[in-house]
Amino acid sequence: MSLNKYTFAIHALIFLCMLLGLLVPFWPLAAVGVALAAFYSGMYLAAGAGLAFDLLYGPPTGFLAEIHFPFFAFALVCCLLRVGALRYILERGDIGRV
Amino acid sequence: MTTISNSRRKKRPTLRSILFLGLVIISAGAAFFWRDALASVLWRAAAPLMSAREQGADAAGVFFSQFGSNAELAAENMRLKAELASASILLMDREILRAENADLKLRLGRVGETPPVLAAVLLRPPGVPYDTLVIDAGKAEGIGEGDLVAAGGSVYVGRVAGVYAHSSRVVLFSSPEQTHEVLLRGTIPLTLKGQGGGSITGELPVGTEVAIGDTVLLPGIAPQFAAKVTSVVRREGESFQSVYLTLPVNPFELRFVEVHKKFDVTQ
Repeated sequence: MSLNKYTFAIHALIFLCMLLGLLVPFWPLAAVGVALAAFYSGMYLAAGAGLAFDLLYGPPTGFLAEIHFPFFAFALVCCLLRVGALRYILERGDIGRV
Repeated sequence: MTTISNSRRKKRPTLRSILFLGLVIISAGAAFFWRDALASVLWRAAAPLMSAREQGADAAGVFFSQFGSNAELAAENMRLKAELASASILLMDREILRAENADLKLRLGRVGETPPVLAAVLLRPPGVPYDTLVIDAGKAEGIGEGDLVAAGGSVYVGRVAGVYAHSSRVVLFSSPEQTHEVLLRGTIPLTLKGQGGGSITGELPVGTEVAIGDTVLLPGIAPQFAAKVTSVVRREGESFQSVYLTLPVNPFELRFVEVHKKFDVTQ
């Protein structure tokens, strides 16, 4: 599979997860879509989608009420994990040598 | 061979990350201050999609029901007929009492009820991560924040917490950390706390009589059924007993709700 096809497949999967998160009554799919976007696509897409889900679902109740935007926070955490993981791999794998 | 030193790579944040951080702060701030307005815009676009999904689910249900076996369908038909017969009798009794109640209130100078607003449920748990509903009636339909939401008649399930242009957000009584002052069997005051998933809990002094099946009503002149006792736990040596309740209907299966104006219930 070429890089373009791979990128297309990942983006299709991300959008499918997000759409199904709304259409199928099962919200974890939306969270999976946001996580996939953070790890495999751009950070902007993940943060934007997270914020959109927070606006659609409304303010959280219970212990999440303090966070106000839990999907957005989740997207940011995933982005940070991605950056951290990339840095770790670059350092461990000695990929600095070109 | 070119070598990029690790220390150089880690040096300072790139312009891209600064831009991302700036955008995150701006968008989070905008969402925090204009949450309702932005949600209203999003729901304006999402509501037709959700309505189409509900209609699609109905159509699929009708289509797949054709493949059920005749024996199963006949058995289900018999069961439903029996349930309908008993429900009709209960409903007759209820309607008589309701009419009498309304008549008495009118004679005593209390204003009659305004008709509730019927709304379809667009999102319900587990489609929403919290114990909330999104319904397809909003400001344009006369919905206001704090209005009581009933599954039907006087069986209440929650309150309107957010109102958008053509949709609203309903927080169920069972929503986590939500507390409500209610009356057990219409007389004993009780504070209930939501646990999520349609479950509610409360505590009563050990001497108080409470049994499984007891009802809990919201205080007010009209009878407002809010929950049913499903379990009572008494522990040795403790002066309080825990009461576990569930909403009168399963919130996961709610298709339509009635929104009653806040004005009515405070009368």
